Amino acid sequence: MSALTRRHFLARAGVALGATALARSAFAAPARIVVIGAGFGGATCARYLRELDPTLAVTLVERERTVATCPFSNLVIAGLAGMDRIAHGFLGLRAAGVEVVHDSAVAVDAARGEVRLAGGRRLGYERLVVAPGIELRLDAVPGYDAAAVSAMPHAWQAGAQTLLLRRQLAAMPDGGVVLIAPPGEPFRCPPGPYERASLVAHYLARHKPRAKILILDAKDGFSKQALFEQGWAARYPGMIEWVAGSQGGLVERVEPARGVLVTESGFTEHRGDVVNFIPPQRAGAIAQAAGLADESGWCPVDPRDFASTRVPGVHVLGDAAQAGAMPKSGFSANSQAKICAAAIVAALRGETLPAALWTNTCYSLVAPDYGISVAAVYRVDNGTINAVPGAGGVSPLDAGADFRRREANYARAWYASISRDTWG
Amino acid sequence: MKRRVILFCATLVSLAARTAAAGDSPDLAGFVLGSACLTCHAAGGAIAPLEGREAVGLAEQLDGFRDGTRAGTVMPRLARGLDDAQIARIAAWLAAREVSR
Ligand SMILES: Cc1cc2nc3c(=O)[nH]c(=O)nc-3n(C[C@H](O)[C@H](O)[C@H](O)COP(=O)(O)OP(=O)(O)OC[C@H]3O[C@@H](n4cnc5c(N)ncnc54)[C@H](O)[C@@H]3O)c2cc1C
Ligand code: HEC
Repeated sequence: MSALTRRHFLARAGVALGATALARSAFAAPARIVVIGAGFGGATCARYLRELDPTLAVTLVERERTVATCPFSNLVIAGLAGMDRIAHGFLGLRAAGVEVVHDSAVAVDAARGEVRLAGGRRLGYERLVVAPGIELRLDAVPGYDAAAVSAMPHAWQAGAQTLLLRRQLAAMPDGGVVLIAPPGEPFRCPPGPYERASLVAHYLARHKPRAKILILDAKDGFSKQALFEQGWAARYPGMIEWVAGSQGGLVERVEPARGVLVTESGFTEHRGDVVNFIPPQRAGAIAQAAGLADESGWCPVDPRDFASTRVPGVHVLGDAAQAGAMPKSGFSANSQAKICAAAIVAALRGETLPAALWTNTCYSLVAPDYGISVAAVYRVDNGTINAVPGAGGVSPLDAGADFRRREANYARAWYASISRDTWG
Repeated sequence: MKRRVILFCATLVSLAARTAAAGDSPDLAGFVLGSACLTCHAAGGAIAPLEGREAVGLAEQLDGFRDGTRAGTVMPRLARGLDDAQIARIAAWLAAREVSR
């Protein structure tokens, strides 16, 4: 946002909000910031807006009373943790002076600077931050519709879906087959399906040792692939098979009633006792309704401050945004949220935002004592977010058991730390 | 490494002077570089909390991760993304933060 001076900000806000909002900022009434979604992106942004400028009136809209995180939900699916481990409430954010409203945002009136909630309330804003996460596309793969979700859980939004997949695995007979079908890029959490396969294998190896996992992938490669395959060979030999998209992995149709995934123009049918189908995704519904998403389904933003390029006065964070080279992860959302909070505070003060760095690290557990990671530092160059060359990368392939154990411990420490950083 | 440390110290002194002069307004330049550290290093966590620690020591450790004289699992990969000025900024920002919240 280096070029965004106060005058620019006011001009932009003026276009969006009309004269009343201008008068408000001129007379220094507390600026009103509304944040939609209290996941990693929205909650972090709300918390750090209040920290950076305690005079701001920050209202956070979240439809759930407690949020359940996708990170560490694979542990729940594998029977290694309960739902309480991944649940977060809002006492910390309230203590930080954030007003938390439990309702659904259903419309944005950018011309008036207003968000409309399902319960009828209207929230006025000078700046709006939209961080709704993903919506699963139930129109993309024939057969995978709203009804199919309860037969073939995606478990790609944590909560009831996580528990359903857990129950199906527990009920499955020994010798059964688990199908996992990840989508093509871009999607939430690129290493997530493979961590899931690992931890499900960990469960099966102990409780149903004759069972098998077949990953039918839409892609020809995946995040941390060499590390995962090394870990699978070491810990779950013969249990997990991965099929690349071009080698017959691409699922073209699903038949929920029969537990069947159809590939290769109908030539091959794979039947699973448990089927975890992860459909393609797009930005959360409110982002579509507010006109923030383009034809790709995701929201284009100015990389410096994550301001929407389509709707003035609105920022989009986290999975919903097109964030250049950054993957769709909780860490990315948390990192973007901090820079966005600083950009909003700088703009309100008429200051220029100094050059920022973004960070991501995704830990995955191959087993409870076997962790691997991918990390990167990002900056804006040539108008987009790119990884800083020479930095980042994945855990070494030739590391020993002690390194893997330490990274597993750091994965758990990371989860505790980002949870505190996000929800207080 | 010694020369770098001297450079860090000089930068830190000038940063401290500037921060004091700015009064109440937060050190946004430090925040947009250093706040990502707190995602892993939050107060009270199992990964060493960094807030309120002495700036020169922090800068030295980051420099060590970056040039390979100090081993780690993830820090070497992250520290290689920082230049000298960014390390000095981050160290000063972390040092100036209150220890717990
Ligand atoms: C199995 C799995 C494992 C993962 N593991 C990791 C990991 O180890 N590390 C990592 O960094 N990331 C991980 N991720 C990715 C991570 O979950 C997402 O990238 C992250 O949640 C994105 O944050 P967000 O704020 O964009 O969205 P979310 O966290 O989904 O938050 C969006 C919030 O907005 C609310 N909301 C949406 N629309 C509305 C509305 N209209 N009104 C009110 N509220 C609304 C939702 O209820 C939700 O609480 C994993 C994902 C999966 C599926
Ligand atoms: C992905 C999580 C993660 C992030 C982000 C991160 N660290 Fe670390 N940090 C670690 C881990 C893990 C260690 C232990 C060394 C190792 O294994 O790499 C560590 C160790 C350190 C140490 C040594 C602490 C001690 O007392 O021994 C310092 C200093 C440090 N980090 C500074 C930083 C700074 C500054 C940043 C931000 C630029 C940062 N870290 C970002 C995970 C992280």
